[in-house]
Amino acid sequence: MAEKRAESQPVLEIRNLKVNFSTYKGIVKALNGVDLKLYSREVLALVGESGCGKSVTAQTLIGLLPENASILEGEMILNGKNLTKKSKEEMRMLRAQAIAIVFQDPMTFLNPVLTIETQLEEVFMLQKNLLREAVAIQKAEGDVKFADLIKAKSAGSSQTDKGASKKETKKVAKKLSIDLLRMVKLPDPKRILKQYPFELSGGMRQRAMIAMAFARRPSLFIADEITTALDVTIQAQILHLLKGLRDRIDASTLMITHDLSVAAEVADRIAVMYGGNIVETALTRALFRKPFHPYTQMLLRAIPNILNPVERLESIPGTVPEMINPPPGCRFHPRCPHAMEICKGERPKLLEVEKKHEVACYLY
Amino acid sequence: MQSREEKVRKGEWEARIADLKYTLHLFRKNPLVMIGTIITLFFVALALLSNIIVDPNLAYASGYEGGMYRFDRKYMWSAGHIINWGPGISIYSGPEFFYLGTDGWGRDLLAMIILSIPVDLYNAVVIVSIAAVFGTLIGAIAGYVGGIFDEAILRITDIFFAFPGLVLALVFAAMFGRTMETLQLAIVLVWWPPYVRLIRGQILSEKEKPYVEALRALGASHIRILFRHVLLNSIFPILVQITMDLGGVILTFSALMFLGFSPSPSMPELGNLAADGYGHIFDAPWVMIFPGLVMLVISLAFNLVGDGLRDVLDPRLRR
Repeated sequence: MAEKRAESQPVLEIRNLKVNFSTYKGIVKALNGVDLKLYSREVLALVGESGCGKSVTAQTLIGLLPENASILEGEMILNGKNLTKKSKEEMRMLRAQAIAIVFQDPMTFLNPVLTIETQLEEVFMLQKNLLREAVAIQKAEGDVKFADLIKAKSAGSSQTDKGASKKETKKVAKKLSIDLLRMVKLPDPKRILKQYPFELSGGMRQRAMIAMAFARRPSLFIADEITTALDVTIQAQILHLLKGLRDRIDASTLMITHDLSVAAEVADRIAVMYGGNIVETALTRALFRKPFHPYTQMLLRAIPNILNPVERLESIPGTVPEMINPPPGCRFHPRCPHAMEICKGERPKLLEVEKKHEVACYLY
Repeated sequence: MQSREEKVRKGEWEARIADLKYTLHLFRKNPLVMIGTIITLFFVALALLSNIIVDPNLAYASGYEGGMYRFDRKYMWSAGHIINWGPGISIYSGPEFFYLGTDGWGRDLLAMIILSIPVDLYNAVVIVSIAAVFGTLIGAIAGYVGGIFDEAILRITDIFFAFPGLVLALVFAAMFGRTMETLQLAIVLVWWPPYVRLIRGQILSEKEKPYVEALRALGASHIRILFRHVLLNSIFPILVQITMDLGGVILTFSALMFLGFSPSPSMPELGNLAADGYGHIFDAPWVMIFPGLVMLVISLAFNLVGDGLRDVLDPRLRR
């Protein structure tokens, strides 16, 4: 299955993306040539330590970089369209329709004074075509489920009812909202619609956020550390939910996390990021079985393993590179046990060392 | 048998009633707020019913004509003379029993106070709503947009803050004549800048919250984000301020009236009535005391309600 996915055309392709932040202290070179491919219906986990540029990648993708940031080079191609060339308004439409993102902390990312129903409805109202489509299905078949809409989108056969009245669209929106909440496995969706965010638990809110994200029928779904703020049991539930939804929602997922176990749980492929570069991408199993890049190897050794307990976990010596004056060449070389002279020169390119296993390191 | 649909609807109703009960509970929890609410409601009811309780013609039937004051007999002691009767004095020849005495025109003070409450309340509502809507809109946009626009708006409000409010209103009223509309406008003129500052501060902190970022990620437009989300989250202090200002505006409006900006000297209005008694403060103190007391009670009541509203309205505080 994963094989088939990888061979298809990538949904998202990031080429040599460079993003700088200009701050008081100097220019922070946050992304230093990121190359990434995301295939259809694939879950790609972007892992890396704090400050390595995972979230900046996500922000760049949705076109919501802070004001002091600028894209220097590179392109992002989503479904054949170059995102770097889009205007602000076009990016807004894309965010409303094609790219969905769920953020880290579900406590603060919902409007505290509106009910879940109003907020979900709002997502639908931002894209009238989806509702008109839903009205068309409702009229044709007497009932409408969110799954029908996704099917219609995948098949590319969407009919819209242009003459849909406001009352009809409202009714359909409510129906879809309930259906969506049921899809993210929230109990008693009718009651939850009437509730305010503070009446829900963290996990429930995160489910509501996921529902809002999927309500857009996105082709790219970005999950920015969605499980970080949740406790472990809820984390497992949310991951389980994402896994279950993956094949029902026709979307590719970019999962951003610093937790390798989370990545291992849901991802098809993992891309390891270090200091604003992708240093290694591989299928999940391959990465855990045989990591190539020294950083990945050390990272994996720093995680406790239940099958192979050790007295003391290894840590990676040194500190996270300073991004204002990053080390030249491979950014990992000051901490790398295998550093060579060549590592200080040119930055190594991502090369395929095994099938679907790319590494940016001079060792290979 | 109840259908499923009916059950759900019934559940919704129950939830709504429970919600209302909780609201009332929050209100009841604080006795001062309860008292404020009751007094406010009492005055609102009085304002609505004033024309039924007291014949409004009484206020205007009077007037200086041909050297003689012509009053309805029912409400004065004797034609031709202005006699201030003290509270609780009854007149033998008729049903007259002046609970609060008579005013400087010889009219029943209680009747006049009752007639002046709708005048004061109406003006306060008009003034505060115009000032609040105007100030909130400008402040919200200034806070959200920021930059030069924000700066310009702030400097304009600074100009208004630099003047003592009452003096500015006085100048305005003196310049444009003593009609009700001028007076309202004069007070609106000094009343909107605080709303600008209040809402601007709220919006500044609110627009940095993560849910705004989430909305942007959702593809919501700026107009939608500002007016539907950010403004709604920042509006509670404004509502509290409005309630409290209702009392304040009544005081300011009456002060203007007291200072002689009343469109007509016989107009029943609390400040006007008090001004009327100003000349007789030693021989007939009640003419000044009772309208003043009513002013005090009304503005106090609105302040108490404002306090309570904050706790009741904001869903973030209802846990």
